Amino acid sequence: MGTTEVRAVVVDVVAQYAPEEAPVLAALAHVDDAHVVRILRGRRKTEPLGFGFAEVVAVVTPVVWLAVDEACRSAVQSSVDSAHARLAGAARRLLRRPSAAGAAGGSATEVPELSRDQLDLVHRRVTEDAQAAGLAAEDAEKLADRVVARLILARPTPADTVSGRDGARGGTDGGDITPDDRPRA
Amino acid sequence: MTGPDPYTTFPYPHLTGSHDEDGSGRPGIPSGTVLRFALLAVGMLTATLEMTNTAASLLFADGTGLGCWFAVGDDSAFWRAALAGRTGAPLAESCLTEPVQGGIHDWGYAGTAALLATATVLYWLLPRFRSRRRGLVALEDLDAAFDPAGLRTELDELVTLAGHAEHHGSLDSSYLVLTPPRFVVDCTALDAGAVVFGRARAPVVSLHAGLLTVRSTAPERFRAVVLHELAHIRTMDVGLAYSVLALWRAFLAVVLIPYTVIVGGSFVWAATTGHFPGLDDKLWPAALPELTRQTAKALLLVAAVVLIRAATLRHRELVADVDAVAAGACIEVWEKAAAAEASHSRLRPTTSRPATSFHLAGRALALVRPHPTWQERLHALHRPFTLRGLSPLQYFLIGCTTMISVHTVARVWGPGLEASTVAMIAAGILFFAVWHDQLRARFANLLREHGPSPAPGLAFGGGLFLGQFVAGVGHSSRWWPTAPETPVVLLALPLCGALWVGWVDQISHLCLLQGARPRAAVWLTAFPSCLFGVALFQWWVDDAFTAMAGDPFGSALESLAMELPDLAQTHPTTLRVIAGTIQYVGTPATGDSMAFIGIAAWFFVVLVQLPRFYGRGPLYRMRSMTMHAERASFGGVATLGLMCGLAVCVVLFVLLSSADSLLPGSPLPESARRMLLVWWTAMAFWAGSSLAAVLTAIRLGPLWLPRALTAAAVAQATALVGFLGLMSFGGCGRLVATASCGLQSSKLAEIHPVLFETVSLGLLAAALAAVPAALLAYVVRRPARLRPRPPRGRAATPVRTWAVRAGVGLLLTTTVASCSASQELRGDPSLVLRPHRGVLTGESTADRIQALQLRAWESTENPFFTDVLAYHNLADRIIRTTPSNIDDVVAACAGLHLSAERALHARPFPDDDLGHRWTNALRRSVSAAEACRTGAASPAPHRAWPTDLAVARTEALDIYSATLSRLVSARMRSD
Repeated sequence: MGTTEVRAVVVDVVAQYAPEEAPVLAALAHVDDAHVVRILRGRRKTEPLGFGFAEVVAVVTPVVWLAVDEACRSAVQSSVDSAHARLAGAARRLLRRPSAAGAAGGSATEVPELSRDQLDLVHRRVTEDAQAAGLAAEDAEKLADRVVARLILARPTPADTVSGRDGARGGTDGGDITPDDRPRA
Repeated sequence: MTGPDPYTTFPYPHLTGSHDEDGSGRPGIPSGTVLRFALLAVGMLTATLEMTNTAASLLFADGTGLGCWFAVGDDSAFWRAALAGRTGAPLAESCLTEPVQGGIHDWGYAGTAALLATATVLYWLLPRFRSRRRGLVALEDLDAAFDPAGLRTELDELVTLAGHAEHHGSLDSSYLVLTPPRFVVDCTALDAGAVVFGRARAPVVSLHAGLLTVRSTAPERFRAVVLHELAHIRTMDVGLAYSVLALWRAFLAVVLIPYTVIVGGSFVWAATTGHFPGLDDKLWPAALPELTRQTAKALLLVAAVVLIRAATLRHRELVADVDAVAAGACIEVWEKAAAAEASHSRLRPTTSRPATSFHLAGRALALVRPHPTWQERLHALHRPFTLRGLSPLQYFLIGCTTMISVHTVARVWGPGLEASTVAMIAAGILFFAVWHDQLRARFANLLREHGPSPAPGLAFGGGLFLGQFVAGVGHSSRWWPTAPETPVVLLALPLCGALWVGWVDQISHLCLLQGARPRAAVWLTAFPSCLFGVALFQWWVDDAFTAMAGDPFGSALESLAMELPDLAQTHPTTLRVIAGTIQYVGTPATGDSMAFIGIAAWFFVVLVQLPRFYGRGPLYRMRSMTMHAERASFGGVATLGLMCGLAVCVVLFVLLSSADSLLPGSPLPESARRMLLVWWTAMAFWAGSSLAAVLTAIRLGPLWLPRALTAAAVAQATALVGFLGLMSFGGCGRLVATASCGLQSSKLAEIHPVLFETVSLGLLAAALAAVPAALLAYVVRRPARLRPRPPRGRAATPVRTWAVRAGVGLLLTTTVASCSASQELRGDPSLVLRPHRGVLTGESTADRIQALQLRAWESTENPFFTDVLAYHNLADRIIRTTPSNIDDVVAACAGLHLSAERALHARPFPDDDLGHRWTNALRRSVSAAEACRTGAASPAPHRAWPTDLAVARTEALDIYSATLSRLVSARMRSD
């Protein structure tokens, strides 16, 4: 896989599907990816002297970001699933210290090579979450299609494959799919 | 917004003079937030004092405080007697007074100082931490996607707009200066909100990233949010909110969490190990009532603090909403949010029982949330004057917190000036709260439709009641005292609360009806109102509470019985009632103050109306007509009072001419006859004035209490004139001018001071009697009142004749005369019933506690052990008798068995060694008695049981001799 990041996927999808949420992504540019995921997952508590609007105005951004991020994390889970890594991550979160990669400015989550099943899961997750967030079923389906298409487009080109990883496609069975072959939930 | 603000618009513009043509009349009184914050501070400081003392007494216990609790809990009768100095046990008094004078209360001071210091540090640190939160970006550093230049321009416009908007508060808007804030964007917040933080002079508005998204799609929403935050800055909410936040977090860290750990841990420790820290391991359950009460008190204070804190923060949000709309925010933003909230709540089914419970829990939870619901916010925007009053729950919390605070301060610093200071603060809070309600009601025209609501007064009185109940009645550890009159006396609290709130409310209305400007009326009524409240509190703390505790300083009945033995024999019930009255209201200082309260309460009613009475011109007539139109006139009151006064005269005439006990020929001595004369005369006066007040109060109306007070005063003055006339003409008047009737005129002067003072109390008694009557009438007539009334026609101009003016003058003269006469009682030493309570110091605390424990054991448990010895001796005597009766032996052994079992289950001797030996000896006695019963009744000879019985007896006697020596030693030390 190349250097496509989750953030880039989200930006592309949002730019096409929900351009009015561009300011949200512009604001999130000031926050690293791990923190963004925590923000999107967590529930913000009401502060004193706050206005009181608690609902998040952006709909597409959280749905896409969380689905893609989760898929990417599960794809690379084996590499970080050790107890030590979990403990270190928990300690970092507790102390609010960035990881080594984050401190160096490289905390962005990259998109790994996703299998057909994994893309299927992403599609399903986006569809469900988008509907739960208030989108119509048809719109949710379209959004999921765009996300999957963008993930497929993020796949390495044959030149990348030849120069970077000989025979790396042997382990996957989804390398030959196209946007028209996207999985249907 | 549905009309003018009551604070900026004069309630009765047609009643004002030429000097008020502009119609403005800002009262300049504190806003509701200040009241709530003051109450929060009082409650939090009281809770800190109480909880820190309790936790410290457990943590650093040397037995001082808890040992006293032990003594109280173990034998409250002994303790009360010790307080009265009648047991010959000065140690008990020493144990009581030592904590009052210092020692353990130092921890309370230290806790309070720690709370304030921590809150101060947090107040300075919290904004600093908040401003360093990750994701905050200055406007200048924003990307082009946000259009920072355009955003800055729009924000500047909003700042200018908010700076010149009208403030819906009690202060003049010109006093409020909007400090231009620094704007930042919180990139981690995706909701369309904003928040203010920082310091009062350097505020920061944090715009959430989601709000910037909304700016282009829903600009009115963006403006509403920013104007709301700017309203917070303009009304100086930043400092207040951080004060509340810092106080609350400091309270959590310094008081609540340590208290929970220490007290909860002590209870858990005691439950698992049987040893309570700081107390004797065997007798600690004796202190359980007091410990439980302390815990309940702490929980109540914490609940009050939580509720008041949430109410304070919610109130600021509502005020900021109103100000934002006044500055140009679109109210549709709130309407949409409220509609969304309503539709969301409608989605939840509420028909099933769990769902209903959930709904109720949600409503309860809403009371502790710092943010109001959207429905509440929209309601406040449509009816902004509702922000000015306090809810019944808050009145309840004021009463509750005040009562506990007054008792805490009275216990820590003494019941004098310090407790009065707390009462004064509480009276001030309540006074301004009632004024807010008054202006709100005037604005909403609520009074004309429904009359004054009794809810605030009853809620306040209910809070006083609960506070007193939790704080404990008297010095004993009982939840409920044994005195039979306790329920009646405790009911005085709700009545006093309703009376005081009702008086302030209605006297405020009366002032406004006289054409007074709100600001002048507020300050005119402030002093008498607060004085009224403080006097009521002082009476409660000094006399009623102490008397209800079980007569620790000597019984008034005993004193009277010693002074008037003949009266005690012939009129025991009357003497008992007289003694009770003296005990609760009859001490010189209290009697004067209570009489003064009643007279001043009525006097002020007349005072504020004097300009209308004696003034000339159309303006004054217009005021009278307005009072008629509002059903607030005093018409018919004087007539009713006059009739009741004449009825009193008739009753007195009959009484003086027919009561054998009062006649000179009666066997009673002169002093007893005088006592009876004063008492029955006072009773007749009280009954007459109360009747007049009740009959007036049940007509309700906006001014039922001033009317009732006036009727009672007229009745009293009339009866007083009639009584003086009767007595001046030889006792019963010339109609029955026999030598045997009443007192001689020369004797009349001797009873004047006592009589005047006692009679003067009648005004307050009448007011107190009028309160339940009015409440009852309010309940009964409520359905009729809710029906729409036909419009009243134009009221006729009232006639102010010279006779009416002369009557008012006569009433004033009588009042002043009775006040001056009652002052003569101050020097009468015969009525000083309370002895001076000295402070005794003795041995070390541990010795005193041990002595108290032994004395308590001796008085409560010793009989069980002496029974064992008695049965041992009886059995031994029967066995030694030759020939011994088997039946007697069996009976004695059965008694021994029973008594030894009871002693085993009694509280053990408060000494490890002797207690252990007692347990062994009692077990041996039980087994020996059992063997005796079976062996003596058995036909087969079994000669081992007499030996066992003798051994057990010897052992018990040995131990008891050691026990006796300890008891005698303790008695000698304590005596």
